[in-house]
Amino acid sequence: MAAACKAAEKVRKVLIIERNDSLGGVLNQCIHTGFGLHCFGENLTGPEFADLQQDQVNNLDIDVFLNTFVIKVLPTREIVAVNSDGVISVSATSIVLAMGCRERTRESIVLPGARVAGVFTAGTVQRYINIENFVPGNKFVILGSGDIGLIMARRLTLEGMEVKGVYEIMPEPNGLRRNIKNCLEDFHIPLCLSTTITKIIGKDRVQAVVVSKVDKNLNPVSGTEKIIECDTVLLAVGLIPENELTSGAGAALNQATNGPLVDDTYQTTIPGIFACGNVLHVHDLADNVVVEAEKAGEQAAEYAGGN
Amino acid sequence: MIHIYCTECPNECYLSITDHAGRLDIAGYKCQNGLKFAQEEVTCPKRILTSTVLYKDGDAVKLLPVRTDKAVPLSRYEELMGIINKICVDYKIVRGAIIVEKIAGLEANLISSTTALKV
Repeated sequence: MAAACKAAEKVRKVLIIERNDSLGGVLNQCIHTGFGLHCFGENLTGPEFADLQQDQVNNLDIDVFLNTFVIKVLPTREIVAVNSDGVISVSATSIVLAMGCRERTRESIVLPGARVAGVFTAGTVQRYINIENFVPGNKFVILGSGDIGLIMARRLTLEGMEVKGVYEIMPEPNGLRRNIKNCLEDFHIPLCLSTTITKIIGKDRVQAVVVSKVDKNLNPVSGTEKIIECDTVLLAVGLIPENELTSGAGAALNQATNGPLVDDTYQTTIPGIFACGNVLHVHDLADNVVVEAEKAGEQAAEYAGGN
Repeated sequence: MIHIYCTECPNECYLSITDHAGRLDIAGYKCQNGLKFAQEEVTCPKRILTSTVLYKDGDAVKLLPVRTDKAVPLSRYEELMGIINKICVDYKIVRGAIIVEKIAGLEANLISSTTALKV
């Protein structure tokens, strides 16, 4: 949205294509505060931040296609998408990629043990609790101290579920300090560092996990195993930029960030295709995404012949 | 002396608080929000509480994100969640609209975090 708004100041036709039924992406389920201090000068929740951005989109002449899924981006800057009208094709002078990122799953960290129900990523649980109104479990163990995991530890506790602890393989927490304090310390939720889950136990549903201390090389230390009873495992073990469309278009990726390789105008290796936000590299703060997106939007508009 | 990280903004200032027989000596803050945060943290820690309330949209019951418009004492969280969990909104609402005025007798109002115009 930020890229579109900035571009709309310089060029006549701007289109946002969104696969969801509303704009804002993950902001809509991030009901906690901590957004907007930089962009709007006040401490806002995710939905408020998205709503304010949406107001800016509405005030400008920007077209929006919702419930539209992009299948392919061609290096000729043609976009093939599908929605209730069928397959559509859009031809653009320049494109800003802003598809965001997705969570690493149990498979991406090769978590051993029984293949049972009750293992979720933090974002999935966040969606269940904050949007769908489902209770995904009763007794939780959280693996990884990423920000969404910490925020969900607080949210689950507030909604009456029990969080047995947060286990982090690294010797220091991964999330922001304010989240360690406001989400764990405020609610007396234990944080166990240099500790990881080495086995999931259960039949049909998670019944317990085995946690072990790890050594300097992150290998489990035998003899330190502890069994923790729980019915749900929540994974907060990192994010991956979602770059299938980027690679599909033929743009080169940066091995360090898993995002596209860009120059100092946020242009990928394909002329006229730009990238910003979590699809470029994973950000800690949404406000930083807006700053970056505005620059990318401006550059894309300039490429398209705007002044 | 105790040390805490300020959680008011991403600067995360490292605060030192010394109690000289009731007079607090606070160091490490970069702004007035940090000073206030440190003072409250040793007397009555406060946070903005965010949650959801039920929201009737035609026949469907959805969730509406809400928050307090001021920080509220952490010690009152349980009581506040009890109130919040009983609320059901069945009218159109805009971002910032007050859902409960002066919730539980506190200075803070419970407000909507989003605009929900369907119903």
